[in-house]
Amino acid sequence: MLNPEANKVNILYECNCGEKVGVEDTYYCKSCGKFYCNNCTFEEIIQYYCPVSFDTFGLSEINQIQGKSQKHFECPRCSSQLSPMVENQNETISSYSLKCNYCNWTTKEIGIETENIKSLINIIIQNEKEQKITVENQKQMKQLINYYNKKINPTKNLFKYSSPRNSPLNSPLKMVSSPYKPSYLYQPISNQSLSTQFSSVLSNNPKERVTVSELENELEKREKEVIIRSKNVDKDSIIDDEIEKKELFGNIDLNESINLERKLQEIPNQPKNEKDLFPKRIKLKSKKGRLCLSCGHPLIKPDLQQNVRFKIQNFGLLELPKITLLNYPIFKTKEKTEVFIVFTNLSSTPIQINSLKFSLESSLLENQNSPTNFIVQKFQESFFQSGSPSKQTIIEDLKSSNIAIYNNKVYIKEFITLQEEIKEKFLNLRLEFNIELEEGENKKEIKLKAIIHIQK
Amino acid sequence: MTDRLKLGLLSEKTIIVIEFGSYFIKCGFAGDSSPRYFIKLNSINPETKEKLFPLKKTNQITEQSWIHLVNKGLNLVFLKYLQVNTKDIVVIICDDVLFPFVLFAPNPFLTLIPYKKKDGLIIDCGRSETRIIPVYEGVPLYSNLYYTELGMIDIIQNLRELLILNLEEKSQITKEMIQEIDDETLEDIISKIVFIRGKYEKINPNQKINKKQNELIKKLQIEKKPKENQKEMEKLEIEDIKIPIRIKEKNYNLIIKGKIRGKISDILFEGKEENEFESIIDIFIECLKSCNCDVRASVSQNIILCGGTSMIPGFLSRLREEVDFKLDNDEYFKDVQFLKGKLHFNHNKKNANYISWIGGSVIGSLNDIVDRSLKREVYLEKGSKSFQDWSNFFGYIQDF
Repeated sequence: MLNPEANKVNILYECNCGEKVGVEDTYYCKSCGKFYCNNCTFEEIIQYYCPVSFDTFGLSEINQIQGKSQKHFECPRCSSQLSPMVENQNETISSYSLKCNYCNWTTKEIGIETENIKSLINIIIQNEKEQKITVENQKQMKQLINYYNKKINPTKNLFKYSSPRNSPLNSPLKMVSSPYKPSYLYQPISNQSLSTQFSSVLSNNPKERVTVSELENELEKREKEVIIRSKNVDKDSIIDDEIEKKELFGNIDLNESINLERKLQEIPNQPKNEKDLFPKRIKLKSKKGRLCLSCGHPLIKPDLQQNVRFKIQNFGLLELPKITLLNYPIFKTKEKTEVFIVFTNLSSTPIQINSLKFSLESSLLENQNSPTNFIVQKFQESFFQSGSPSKQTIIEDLKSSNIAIYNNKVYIKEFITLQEEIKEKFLNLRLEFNIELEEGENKKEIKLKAIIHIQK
Repeated sequence: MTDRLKLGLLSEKTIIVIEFGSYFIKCGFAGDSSPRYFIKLNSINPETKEKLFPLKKTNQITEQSWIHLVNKGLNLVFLKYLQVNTKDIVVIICDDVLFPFVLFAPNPFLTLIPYKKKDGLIIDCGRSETRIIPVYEGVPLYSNLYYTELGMIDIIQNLRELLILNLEEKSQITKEMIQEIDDETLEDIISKIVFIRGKYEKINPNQKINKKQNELIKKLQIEKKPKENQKEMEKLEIEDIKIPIRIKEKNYNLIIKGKIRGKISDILFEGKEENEFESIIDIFIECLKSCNCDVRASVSQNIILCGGTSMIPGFLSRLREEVDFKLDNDEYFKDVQFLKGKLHFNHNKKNANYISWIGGSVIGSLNDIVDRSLKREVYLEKGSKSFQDWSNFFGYIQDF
């Protein structure tokens, strides 16, 4: 039977940064000799894998694949995995297609159905619209990048000129550096451009020089070219806009149209109707490790093979004792209440606890009666032969003393009297203690702070 | 006015481009032709259980907790969505997350890069506001920046008000139920059925569309000759639509009438009643008027529409009609009357909501990106003084 009062008690460990976290969010750094929370560590991706076939991919391969599986697809409607389906039309002929077992979408709706399962995936890959659009767009991107790379590079060639006389730095046009002048006057000058455009202006031969009026005429010509080019673009975009608008006038089948959220999941396509949907490639998942922020040493590192194990696991859970309360205490002002605290050892070595202290908000706690130093033993299987003790036997044992030890658990009793009424809805009982950890032949003592958060 | 940032980040081999909008973050890798993810700012981070990126500071959030939340948000974007390592990273926004190189680039400059042009007037119609800024020789002229707080949010509110006004007496849905409908469901409805009607488009709710008219539409897609069939096009009328909706765990049918569907987005062009000068058209012409004559001549040849709200069908044609009407009839814009018929618009609907991201992707894949970006060591020495002002991006544009 579930304890309905279990949610009212919360036990947190205080990190050096001030953050309060549960035991499951703590990590132990052997080089620093401290316990850290999530904020004092950072994650690092070590490996990528396909969640269907568990094929692994390295960090260098992932960019080529765009982080997606090459063979497995998911439903475009509900994003669950597509699985192959067979239909036997005759005894000899059978048709293969991919089907979603959750929403019953099939590739038949797009018209993809084959007699051979191997060719099915190849056909899907060939017809991938998203791929086609990205391939086309990537060509345009490359052109843009090359265009701008060429524009930047001429500045690096300035230092190639042998004598200062020949270098374009001495040219009169380069001295003009206002941002509001037309761009062609402002271009970095190379030998080629000199010969084609402005050789006549810069030449020493007076017969070849060009007048200002001729330069102005050239300006006008270029502006007209710009106007002509932009007019053609203008027409097409308006016509497309009008057509799209008129399509919406009639009765729209809302069952076929797609949500805005779904549209934005396929960004180059941005499909509008169900007819435009196409199976999506499954996104690869990643195995992550954790590193210490201060020293950079690994705290957690997963195994690179296809399993769920760890190469390095320095979880705080394996070193720290698990703290719980045996019962939910009901507090009354100016009355003693018994609080039973349990220390459980989940590691394979005994844990030495020293200088245990309790504290509350001022003037609410009497003198500490519970012991300050004790050992929490490791788990022993032989203990279960005699049977584990019940709650009542533990409470009776604690009547005579403040401490009781059973296998890997230590029970401590403490009395708390509230001398004033607490206005807040919770009570924070603070514990401070030291832990001894073995590092080879040496022993290390680490200070810890825990908070038992009890809701009234 | 929301702060729009663009970060170009460099890790060992990959360069990441992030654009912060008022509703979406677009993130992806440099060299790609489109971002990988559109992440909502309103979505909740499962670790912190608060908003992913609280870009607007409030009284409830202190500076340190704000930095902490943004730090967590960025971690989520890199590790969960983009799946990229962030080792040894110093971030400008917060101290915990660190990147080796960061480059800030202004949005107006980046929108022009895909067009290979240096001059242009950018109309950015977003979710919360519309901004119009001229760019001349690659320099965004912030002194001539105009903006109005009209965007998708106002269209959603207008739809709500129109639904309440046009409620039938016998319907099961009440005014209170309409006010409880989410913004997201209304936005979804807008993306499916709403368009912007022309200024002079007549609406006859009685006539229905025939098969012939349907075929006509298909023909026009192939031939693209609307002028020849203009008279027949004008006869196409708008139908009512029933939308299934879920309010308070019950299913209803919400009827949106045909005469409303074209009117919903009129608020962008008519403005709010409180201020006279708030419509997009007014600030657009005001911006052109405020520009220098040299700037105006080149900027009017390349007017770029971007932003998600500009993707509503009919936006461009309505904009042109309204601008021509204002230039003819409004005396305040007499000085600029000669611009009628000489304005040229560029509007690529497929990319309109991430066109400036494409510009950032191009810049991120250039050869000398490392030299132009801010290094971590410089930031650690100088702190916030190492940042350049947004208007001082000229040194980078010079080489283009």
